[in-house]
Amino acid sequence: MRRLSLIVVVLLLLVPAYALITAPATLLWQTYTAVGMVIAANVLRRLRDYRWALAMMGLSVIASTRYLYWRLTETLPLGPEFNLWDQFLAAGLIGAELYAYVILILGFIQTIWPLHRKPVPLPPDPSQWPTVDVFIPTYNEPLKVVRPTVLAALALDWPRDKLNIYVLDDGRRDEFRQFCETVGVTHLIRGDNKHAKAGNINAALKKTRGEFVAIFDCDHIPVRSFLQMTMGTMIVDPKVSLVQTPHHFFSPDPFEKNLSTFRKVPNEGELFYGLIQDGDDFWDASFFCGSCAVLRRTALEEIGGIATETVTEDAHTSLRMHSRGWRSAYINIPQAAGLATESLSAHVGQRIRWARGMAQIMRVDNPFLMKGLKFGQRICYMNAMLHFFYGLPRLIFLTSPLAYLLLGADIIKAQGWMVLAYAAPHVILATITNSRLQGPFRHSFWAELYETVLATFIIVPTALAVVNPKLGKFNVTAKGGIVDRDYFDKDIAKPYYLLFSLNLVGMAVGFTRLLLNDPHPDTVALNIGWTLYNLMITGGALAVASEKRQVREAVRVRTKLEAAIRLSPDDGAWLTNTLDVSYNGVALTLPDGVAPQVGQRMQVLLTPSRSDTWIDIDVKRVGRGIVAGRIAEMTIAQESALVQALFGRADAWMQWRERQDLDRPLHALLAVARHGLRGSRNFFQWLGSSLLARARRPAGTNAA
Amino acid sequence: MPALKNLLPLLIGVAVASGHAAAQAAPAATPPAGTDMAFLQSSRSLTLKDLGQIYPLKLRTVFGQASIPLNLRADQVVTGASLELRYAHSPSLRFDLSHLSVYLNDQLLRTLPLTAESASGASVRIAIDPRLLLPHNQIRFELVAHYAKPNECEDPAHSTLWADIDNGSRIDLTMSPLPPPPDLANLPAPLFDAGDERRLRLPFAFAGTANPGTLKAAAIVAAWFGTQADYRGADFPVSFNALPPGEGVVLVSGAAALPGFERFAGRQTPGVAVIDNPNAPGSQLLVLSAPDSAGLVQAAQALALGKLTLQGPSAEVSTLELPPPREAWSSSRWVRADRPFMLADGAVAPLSVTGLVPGPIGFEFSLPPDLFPLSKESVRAHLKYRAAPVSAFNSSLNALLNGQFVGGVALDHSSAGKRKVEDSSTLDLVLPVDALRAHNRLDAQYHFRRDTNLPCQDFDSTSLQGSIEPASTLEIRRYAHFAVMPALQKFADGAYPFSRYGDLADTAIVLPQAPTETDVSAALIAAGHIGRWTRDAATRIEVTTTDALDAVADRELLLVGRLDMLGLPDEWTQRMPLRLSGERVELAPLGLFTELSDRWLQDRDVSAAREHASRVIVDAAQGFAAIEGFESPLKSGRSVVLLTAGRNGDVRSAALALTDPGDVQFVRGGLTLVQGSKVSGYDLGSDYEVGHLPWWFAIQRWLALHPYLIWPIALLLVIIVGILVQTLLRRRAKLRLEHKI
Repeated sequence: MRRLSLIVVVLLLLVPAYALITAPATLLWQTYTAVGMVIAANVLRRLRDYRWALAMMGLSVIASTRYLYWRLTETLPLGPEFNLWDQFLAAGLIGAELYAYVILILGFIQTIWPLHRKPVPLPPDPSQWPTVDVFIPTYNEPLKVVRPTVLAALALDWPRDKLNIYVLDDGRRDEFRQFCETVGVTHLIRGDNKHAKAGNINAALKKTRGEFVAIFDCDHIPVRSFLQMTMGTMIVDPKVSLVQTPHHFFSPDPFEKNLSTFRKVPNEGELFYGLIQDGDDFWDASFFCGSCAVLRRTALEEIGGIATETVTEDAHTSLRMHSRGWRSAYINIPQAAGLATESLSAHVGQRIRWARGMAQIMRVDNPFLMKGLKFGQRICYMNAMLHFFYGLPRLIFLTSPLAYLLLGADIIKAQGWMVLAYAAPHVILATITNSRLQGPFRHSFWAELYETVLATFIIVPTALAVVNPKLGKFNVTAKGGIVDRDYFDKDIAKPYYLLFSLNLVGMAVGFTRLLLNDPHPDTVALNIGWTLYNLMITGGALAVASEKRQVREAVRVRTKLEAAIRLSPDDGAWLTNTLDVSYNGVALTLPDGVAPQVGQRMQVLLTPSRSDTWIDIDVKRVGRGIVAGRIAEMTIAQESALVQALFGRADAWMQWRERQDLDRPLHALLAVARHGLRGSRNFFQWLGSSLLARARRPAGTNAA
Repeated sequence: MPALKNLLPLLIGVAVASGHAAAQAAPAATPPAGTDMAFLQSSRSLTLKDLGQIYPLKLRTVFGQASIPLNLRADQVVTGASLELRYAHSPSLRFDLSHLSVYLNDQLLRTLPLTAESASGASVRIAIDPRLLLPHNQIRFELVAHYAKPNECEDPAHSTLWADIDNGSRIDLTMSPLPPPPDLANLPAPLFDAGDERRLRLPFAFAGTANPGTLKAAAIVAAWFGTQADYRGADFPVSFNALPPGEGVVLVSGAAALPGFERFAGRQTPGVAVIDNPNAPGSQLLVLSAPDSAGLVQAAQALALGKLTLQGPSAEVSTLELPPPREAWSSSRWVRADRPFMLADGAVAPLSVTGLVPGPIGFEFSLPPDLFPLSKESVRAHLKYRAAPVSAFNSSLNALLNGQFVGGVALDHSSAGKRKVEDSSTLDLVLPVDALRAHNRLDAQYHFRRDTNLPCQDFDSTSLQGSIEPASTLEIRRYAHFAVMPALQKFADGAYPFSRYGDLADTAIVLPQAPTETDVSAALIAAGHIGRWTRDAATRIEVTTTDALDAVADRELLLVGRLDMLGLPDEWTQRMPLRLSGERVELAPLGLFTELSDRWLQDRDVSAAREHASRVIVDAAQGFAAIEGFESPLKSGRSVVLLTAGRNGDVRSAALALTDPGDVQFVRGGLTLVQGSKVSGYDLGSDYEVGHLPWWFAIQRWLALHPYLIWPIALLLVIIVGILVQTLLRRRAKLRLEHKI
């Protein structure tokens, strides 16, 4: 009955919506409508209650659908006066627009109500707590990377007899075996490396028997409260197969590094873990991300272990569990942290793997057709997969104005102002609505930049995977900055040099046409504006790509921790706090009355309230109330204490997000434009130098 | 059907006419006593334009031909005829080899040598032997023109090979009446003769003043004659108590009778008769007589339905069963929208043409005036055509709708493999809905080219042929029956809204309480106009007076009468676009909102139209006639068309504007003023709507008419949705957090 009345209400609302979408309007009245809608959205944006955000979504959907309806019914270049070439280009653009529209709508549904799930307290009696196996799969990463993870896992707050830690070493390295024996965890190996990480975990599943499995990538260091935060949900709801937590990175990704936006502008991952996974959770569709998660063994075994058919085994595994009626949960509190991919090539490689994997899942187990899924789950999975097809549409948007400006192709059969009057509310409302929804997790226009950089590289892998999921090379793993092909960043920049040049030429041609009194100045102006935007985005992409490779150093964490220092084990200790800690060294406020000498060995006790293991440091610098030193050779216990202080604190990453600014679309646009400008400068330097080189070369050959 | 019905009398006419033509030279054999046929001789002058030739005839190529039809009345015999031919031709011809020939019914009348003097224009009178003239004739012109010597190379399609025949060229005819004996079988002849291209003029005579019943009978008869007259138009002058001077219709009801018609008075059964007009020898009268007006209506219905015994001078109508009420737009006049229309059914010319410059292949079709296309592509034509594969590059087939180009296809047979035509090709056309009217003409025009690279090659232009297949169709999809009113253009062109039902079951003519001869005449002209469009018997029409409106409240009203004689209640006056206020004629005032919305939303400048109309009214000093359209005060969705005039005006001129092809195109909007020869129509706002649109289209249209509400409604809608969705989502989130789903 309630369902019926709901259907009736929906139908009643659809009637006016239909009229709003299809009602034709003259340029005057469409402009008026556009202005009205944008003003309305801007007013709604200022209202705090979430219902207004929902209203904004509705308004944005109406504006976009109205645009698209008009676009499809009025502007398609059909008819004898348009040639096949025009129509081919037009089909490309309309396809890209349809894609963007679908993604917009799916995105709205996906993030319509972020669930903000709270951790469930554990039963008071620890003897009722279940047994947990912690898996740390590794393949070729150096021990240096894996050590902190293992040490942090050992420090997890869980009864020691119910916690088993396994290092799943596909590299089968002695060094690892010795380390495991030393610290008292199990070193698991298998005979082959079949199915990479998925196969590695599946092999381990056969050899272990804990009720739950927590999985950490070898460079994701868990905080001590990880199991406390996640296991409560598992215990209270026996249908839950997965509790996922965010992947947190304490180092800048290549974008952040090259654009200097670390901890100022949210990165790609923050949208996903801050909002999308939380939104997915509402629809019972948050999925496994390969690490920082707990899985229920019975659920895993029901689907035959981790899925091995695709290169994104994590999402695929989740999809299968969901289709069997298992639930999932997402707890949006960072409970582990790791290093971000350090180079752009590695970053691109990783995204190519994700894109290909998602495309593979779409072919193997299409969430729209698969049995057993609920509506919301289909939407969320579909969006997660379709998202990775942005390559071609993005490229089309970056080149479409050129079709008109350079090739003279009429790909939109409409007056320029009319296009603007319809498209402007579509674009503006989508932007400010997303800004309202994603404010803390993503800034407007930055996604354009992120996607643009990757666009040219994911087209082929996704297309191949759709044609046949087995096509394409199977990257073993993207961890540790190693991909099967090493992209030089110059290679990465190449397509953007080309796109930038083309848009530049397009703009020049456009201005020339304006000066020569083109019969359609509005259409030319519109396309010039478009190329300008494209120049900004490709310029930004160039700015991202222009990086120098950096050797990974130990990460410094700028945190203020309580600490104590003493000059020798026999001395008294002074309480102070840290300014800066890393795996290699530490800087502290120098308390009055202590006078360490440079070169002297000193001892530091980090977080004295929780630890009693002193760490030796060699003082390197003293002065201005600061003492800094290099950490000397550590024992396992000392290293463990350092890891716990640095990475293992329950609140280690809690405050991280609060430092960022809320999104203001115009500011974001300006910021992106600034990077675009910087990229353009790089472009012209490159152009100048390569022209110079070309000018010199013939002279050289002649001489030879 | 009317075409078939007409066939019989025409055939009779042919026989009679030719028989008498031979005897014409001798004095009339049996003249009626005391009359001399000579004074009945009449003469007529017809230009080629009168015969339907709107443009000069263009003769092209070495052998150019053109022909025009000439139809003559069957009840007259031609005693003298001549053709005054005006022509001009190319001055660059070889005059010893070029000439122009005129044929009548394939008999050569004259061959005119072309000379340097005649090139810039010449006029010549050609005598026509009257014996050559038949009821249906064809005049043909043939141009033989050359610019080269016989053995020289010549391009037969050279642009210098031309001659034009002025459509002002005139045919003068002298005629004597040749009345057949009175016989119902001849109807509608001799009162109407299809051979006469002029407007039908048929006086009606009533005994005493006409009461509504008698008028109903008259209206049915008028509509019937309107159907017969078709595009010619029909004028029905009316006299009370006086016989028409020539042919006419006389209605006799009960005891009251015109002098000389006493034998029809007091009849017990309704009857129809054709008699010689006692006042006008050679003319015949159609007499409808009955004991009461109901019987008169019955006689008229029988006449209109063709249910009379078609023999002898008179017939009685004892019982008459009316056919069941008509469905809307079921008349053969209208294209049925629910199935494809075979264009061949509306063909006005042969479907196959020959020659380098062939005439168009024309199709006529009428669409219900309230046909409302729901999309721009609602009306499509599928022309299946075949063209001879000898035509050269750039030959084409073009389609024109009401003279406006709507599409075409290149007949490119130049490419290899296209030298054969074995099957028809199809030209699919989307007819622009804005160019569609009630009556439409679709022309398929072949334009052939010959290969100019081979100027001296033997060329036979008759091998250039093209045809349109009878299977070509017109298709109407996605439409509604809907109209924004007032729209007098739909009344002028399509007789909307009265033409909806062929039997006029929802039409009523309303006259003043004491209608004058002028009022009745105007009403009958309007009935004839409606009959022209319905092509059906107006059996269920009602006629009433302004004091008995309630009986016809649920009908479309055709109101006829001078403004100061109407005597209508105030609520009627309020609705009239043009009305009498005291002694003054004034335009209905316009609300501010209407004016704003007309200007900004519908982009129409009502103020300027009002200003112009006011000036015409003032200038006319009550000497104008007018047609007004407005919504019926008796029932919403019903319309009133008012034929009216100022105190010094003539209501008949408003009605006659409908029958004049020149004037009728200016009848439009909610008010049309007729002053002298000037007809001007005005859109004056205050719209109402008639018919139904599908709901989805209606709301979309409503919003399109109120575009300023798009965003406010959108905002309202999303606020409701926001609040609603929030509750739903919150409920689900709660369940989710409680681990229930």
